[in-house]
Amino acid sequence: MATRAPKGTRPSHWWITLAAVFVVLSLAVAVATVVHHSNASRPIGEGQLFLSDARAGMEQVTEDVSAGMAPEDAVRHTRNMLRIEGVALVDAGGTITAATSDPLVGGMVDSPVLLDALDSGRFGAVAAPIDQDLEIDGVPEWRRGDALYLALLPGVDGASSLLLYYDISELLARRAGALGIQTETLQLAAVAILFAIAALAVMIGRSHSIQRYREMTLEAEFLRKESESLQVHNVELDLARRNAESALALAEEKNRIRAEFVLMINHELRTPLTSVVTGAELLLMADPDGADRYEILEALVHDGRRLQTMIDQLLAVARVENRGLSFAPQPVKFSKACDAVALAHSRVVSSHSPDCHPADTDPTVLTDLQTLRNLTSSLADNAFTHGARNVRIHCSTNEVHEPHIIVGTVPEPAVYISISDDGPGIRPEFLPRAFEKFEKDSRSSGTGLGLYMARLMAEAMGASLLVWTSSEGTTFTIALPRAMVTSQLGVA
Amino acid sequence: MRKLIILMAILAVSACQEPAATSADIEIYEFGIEPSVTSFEAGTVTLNVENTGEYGHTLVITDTGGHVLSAGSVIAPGETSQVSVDLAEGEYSFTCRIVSQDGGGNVIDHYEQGMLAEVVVGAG
Repeated sequence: MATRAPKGTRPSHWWITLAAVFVVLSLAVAVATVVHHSNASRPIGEGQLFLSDARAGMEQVTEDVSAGMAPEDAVRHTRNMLRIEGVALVDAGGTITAATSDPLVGGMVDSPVLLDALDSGRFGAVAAPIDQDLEIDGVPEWRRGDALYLALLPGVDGASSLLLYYDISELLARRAGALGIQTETLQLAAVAILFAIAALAVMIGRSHSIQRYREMTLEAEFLRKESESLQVHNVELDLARRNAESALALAEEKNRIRAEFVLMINHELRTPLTSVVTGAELLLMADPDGADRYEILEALVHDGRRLQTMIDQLLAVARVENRGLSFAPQPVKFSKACDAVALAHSRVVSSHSPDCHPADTDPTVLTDLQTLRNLTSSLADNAFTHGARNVRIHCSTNEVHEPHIIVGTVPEPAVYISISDDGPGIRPEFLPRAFEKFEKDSRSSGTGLGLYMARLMAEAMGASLLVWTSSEGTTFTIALPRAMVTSQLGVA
Repeated sequence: MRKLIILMAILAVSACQEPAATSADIEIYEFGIEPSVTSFEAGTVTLNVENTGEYGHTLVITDTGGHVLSAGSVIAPGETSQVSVDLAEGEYSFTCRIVSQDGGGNVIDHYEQGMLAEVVVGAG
């Protein structure tokens, strides 16, 4: 999933809008500039300038004359004010009465345009060659035939008209010398350029903003990946922590078992050993006779056997755990296996008489008869150890009881050898731990190895153990695997 | 054959160009100036100016720097005037430089109104 930079760091659309506005304004003003320049390129005459000068000049002359200045001085004053070639006063008949150039005085206005202006009383101007040499302030400046621009503003109510002389070449050269671009055009162009610069600045700013946005997006992506990596590490660390806790719990459990084993050894071995030593010392020191002597010797034999049994079991467990069971499976008829189990019990536990009933059918099983005998003996001994008075062995092709617990995986198909007793049963809360090493019920007098050893033997044969228990007795059922192809196994 | 083709090409190009002149007829009116040709040979150029308008007009000839080479008198309506002027190689403007005021007081500058013609003078 793509990661986006945090809100507020993303480039705003306002920048785009602003840049677009500036671009549009720049283009609009540029178009206006072109249009204005096109319009301004049209010929512009001097008419307005002449009229404006003539009115200002007339006002100045009138003011000067009214102030008592001589007309000759008034026209010079006005010429200097207007900065033109010459100024003259003309009467209603067209005669020049005063002029900045003396030779003009007394002359006549003869241009049809100017005469028409005089007649109509309206302003008029014309470019025309002069018919005589002219001077300015006594200095010859113009020769006959030179072209001058003459502008005439008729006087009102019989007053003198004002005649202005312009250097037409200077006027036209001034216009032609200009850039040909009016100030307004330049101003418009400047505004268009400013808008364009503003748009460019906005776009550059936006470009920087986008660059920064991309950088922040990359940083966010990097941080997201780092976060994911840390999460993976956290999971791994959590798993490692759990494994360590499990290992610690296992180690603690082993320590507990080892401590209990030491306690058990201390109790189970030292107690009969102490009894043996005490009995032997009593025989040596007191030298009893008769019934007492027999009773002490009987106790010595009992405790000695108990010690022997304990040591035998410990050695058997150690041997199995270190080297495994010596297991030689053979195809055996089920009836023969049941006979072997019954014979073993009739020999070892002769004071009790377990029953063995062969099944109606006689399938072939794959087992080791010696291990099977040891297993059934172990389970029968365990029953007698825990208070059973009668133990019965029953062989069947069908499972008898619905078990409370199954140790291992029941083979399929299987046959069943059940060892049932009439003991007090196994407490339900202890049942799940009954087949663990050194586990024994608090009221048990066993070593905690009998059922553990039974489990090891069952696992070695590919068999499983099914346990059903109640206050009236317990049934351990050995589920033995059947041999699948009887003809190829050479049944014994 | 090849030379003939080149000659025909030169003739064809030449036929497309306006021939340079030393004289021209110019019609002036309200408000325009229309010379019969716009390309002249350098040297003395003779212009026959006819005012076909209803008011008087002038013909002022200036170069690109604004210098006046010729400024004739007012030509009355219906009259013809002949102007001779020496023109060097370059560009020139033919204008009317009359400013008047109508009955409403509006300034009418003939040049502004369009009495302008541009001509070119080439090497002789």
